[in-house]
Amino acid sequence: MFGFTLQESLFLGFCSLLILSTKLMLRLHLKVPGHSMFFLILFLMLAALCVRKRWSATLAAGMAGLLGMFTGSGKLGPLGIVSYMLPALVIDFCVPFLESHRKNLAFFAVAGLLAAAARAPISLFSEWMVGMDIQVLFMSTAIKTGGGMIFGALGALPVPALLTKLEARGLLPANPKPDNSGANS
Amino acid sequence: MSLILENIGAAGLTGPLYSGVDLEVGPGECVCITGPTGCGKSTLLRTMAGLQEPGPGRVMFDGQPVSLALPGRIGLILQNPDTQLLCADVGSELAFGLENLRVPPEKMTSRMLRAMSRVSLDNHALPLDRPVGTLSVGQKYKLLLAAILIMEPRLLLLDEPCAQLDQGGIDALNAILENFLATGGSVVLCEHDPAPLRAIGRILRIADRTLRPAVVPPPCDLPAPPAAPGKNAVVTLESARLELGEKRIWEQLDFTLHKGEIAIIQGDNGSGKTSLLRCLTGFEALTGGSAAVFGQAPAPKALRGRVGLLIQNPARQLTADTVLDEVSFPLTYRGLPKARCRELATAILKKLDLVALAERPPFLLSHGEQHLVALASVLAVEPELLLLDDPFVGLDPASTARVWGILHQACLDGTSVICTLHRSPAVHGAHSVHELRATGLTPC
Amino acid sequence: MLNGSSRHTTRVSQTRLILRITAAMALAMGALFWHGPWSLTALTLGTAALAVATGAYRHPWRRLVLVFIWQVVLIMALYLLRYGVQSLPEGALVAWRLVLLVLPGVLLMKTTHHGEMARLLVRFLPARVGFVLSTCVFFFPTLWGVTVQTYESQVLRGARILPRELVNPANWGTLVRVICLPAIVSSLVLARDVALAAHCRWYGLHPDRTVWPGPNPSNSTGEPRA
Repeated sequence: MFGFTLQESLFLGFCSLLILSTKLMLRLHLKVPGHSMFFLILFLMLAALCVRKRWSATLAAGMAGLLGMFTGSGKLGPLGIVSYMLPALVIDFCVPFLESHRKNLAFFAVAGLLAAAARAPISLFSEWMVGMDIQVLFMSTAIKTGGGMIFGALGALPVPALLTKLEARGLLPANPKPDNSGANS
Repeated sequence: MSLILENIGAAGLTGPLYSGVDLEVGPGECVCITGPTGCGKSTLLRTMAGLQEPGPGRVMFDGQPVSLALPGRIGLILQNPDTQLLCADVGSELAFGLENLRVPPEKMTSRMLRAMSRVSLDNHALPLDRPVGTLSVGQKYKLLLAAILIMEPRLLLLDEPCAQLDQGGIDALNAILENFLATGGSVVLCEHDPAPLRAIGRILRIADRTLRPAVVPPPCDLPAPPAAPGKNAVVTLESARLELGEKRIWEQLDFTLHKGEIAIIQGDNGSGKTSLLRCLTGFEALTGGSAAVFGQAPAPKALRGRVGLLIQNPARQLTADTVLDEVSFPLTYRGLPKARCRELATAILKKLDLVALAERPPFLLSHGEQHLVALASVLAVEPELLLLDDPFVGLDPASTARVWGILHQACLDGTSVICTLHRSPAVHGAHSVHELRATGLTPC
Repeated sequence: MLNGSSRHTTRVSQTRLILRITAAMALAMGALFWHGPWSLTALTLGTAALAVATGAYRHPWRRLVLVFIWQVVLIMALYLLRYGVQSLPEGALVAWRLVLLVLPGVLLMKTTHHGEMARLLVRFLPARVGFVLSTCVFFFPTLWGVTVQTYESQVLRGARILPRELVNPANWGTLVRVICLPAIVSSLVLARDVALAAHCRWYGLHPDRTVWPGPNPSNSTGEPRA
């Protein structure tokens, strides 16, 4: 599927469902704004860095949007998918830097911060379109996005250690696979 | 038609698994490959199916490399049926392979019904639109076999087929294999204990990184359980009833576990064993009746540190870099200094005869050793009640005996144990065995 | 997540579902783009009609209302802070319009049986994508079940990861180590096992596949699909 093997596609799909499930669990129990960005960034980064193919995070995000509609836990329509894909695009863009700076936690934190911030345009656009005052709009976006950015940065921090543990267990390929290896789904 | 392996080798995470393997399996022959868990049996089967590189050698089937064999000539069934049934209903499951091979749609249904009859699945009792999730484990395995036999393979490769089957399922499997062999097919299967399968004609064992002839291993002697349990009730269930959604799982459950007692609760998959354990830990509420653990209604926070839970396939939850770290990690929750935690963990490992593994990474251990380490990690906090969810799946007899030894040791220390199994054990080290059904718990 | 909504959802025909989705999206677009006189009233009435049509009155509303209240309170508080009491009516209108942007979609998602939605979506997706998505949904309860069991085992072992304990960020590291890592390991292993099982049954051998017509042969054309 889009150059990913069946195994890779399924793993990305499971990451997507983990994103949706943790979001639902946190909403039920914690009710803290922006907290769901912690797991969104964590699982999107893991998806991208475990599969090690271009656009892995974006595909996982697209699947999260679609699976959200499949399972009734997400938003209807393109807005729901875009809200996942914008952070994922940032992560996919950052993947080459992250892979070559695996020990640098600051890189990961900044990438998580930027990915979480990528959702701001959606909030800005929709609130501007409904006629919100510009100054209130910026304050509202800052509050909604600010919390998410902090959680996004925190969500990125465990990723290097998790990757090291997964590699030690032989669960990840040692080198990035060529696109046509294995049976494609 | 024969399968020929020449100079096959394979490597695992810790080094070579086997090398120089030569084997020939002729038509009508059933070969069993045994060996301790982690020795490479599954890897060898996948190599025979062409799904794994054969190393320096080659695998030939019907005179040509197995990778070039006609699709459908070789059928492979892996260990866990639940990860191999890919569709929601019986019909779709049977049709899945036919669809992949582009069989014309008008020919599919008749082939599906024929395959079902080959494995004695009655189409009237099991219609094609029946959801797969409602099938018993034995029915699921038969369905998997039918889904493979539908392509009329000449070679069947089965990975631990008896692991999840009860005696009825094993008898049915024997009949299916005998019929298959009678038509000239060949079978290669892996099993820890080949004794129940009378179709087996030859037994080989992976030992010292090579494949050699073997005999049926003698049954493992398990130690008898320690002295009779005490009188104090640790767990009590009275007229317990559980409904999940609109489905009644079980009712009229009466059960008492005394201090120092080891009890087995056995029931088929879907009978509610795991749900029972969740009710005892307070994560699931009973619909009716009452439950008491240490004299009080179960609640996770109250039972923390007093109840230990070992889940199925516990190796997945080993997260530390060394065995010692893994066992000492739960002790850190008590706020003890790290050095003290390691001291206590070392003492536990010595007691369980696992201290030789202390500095090794858990994920590099054999499957049986990982199991023991996971158990040690649960026992680290010295729980008064130990709950084990089907702990012996995938374990070889030697590891099974060691687990029972550890449970007996825990029992002597005053820990009570409930062990759920999916199949009635031929030998066990428990004080009592109970069968879980929808209508209650019956002592066996 | 995958089963919880079944008590309050209804199975409807695909045509009716498409109509409901169209209505929900039209109402949401209206909230964004239509600012004419009476627009808010018309959108509110339209949303109410959708709520009745979907049987939303059967759904538990408390949790949903709490989510919207937070948004309304935030916006009105910001207007109050920035412009004072006289701006509250304007703030209320903006907040209500934002609610109308999101509510139609929420109504539909909460009241539609997820199997119906999945069946509709799969019709418009490439067959391989549909197979991957439906397989993921099919196996996710297995993965989630293992994760829940791991969670319960770790709680009993002493991990401070009960919901109230997770308010303390100091416990998040424990959550990541004892829950997230095993969940990712389980995902990788399950994906490998399911893909292997599919390949054992020759999935991916040909670029397209035939289709079993089902127990009732008149249901499908049997044309090849990917």
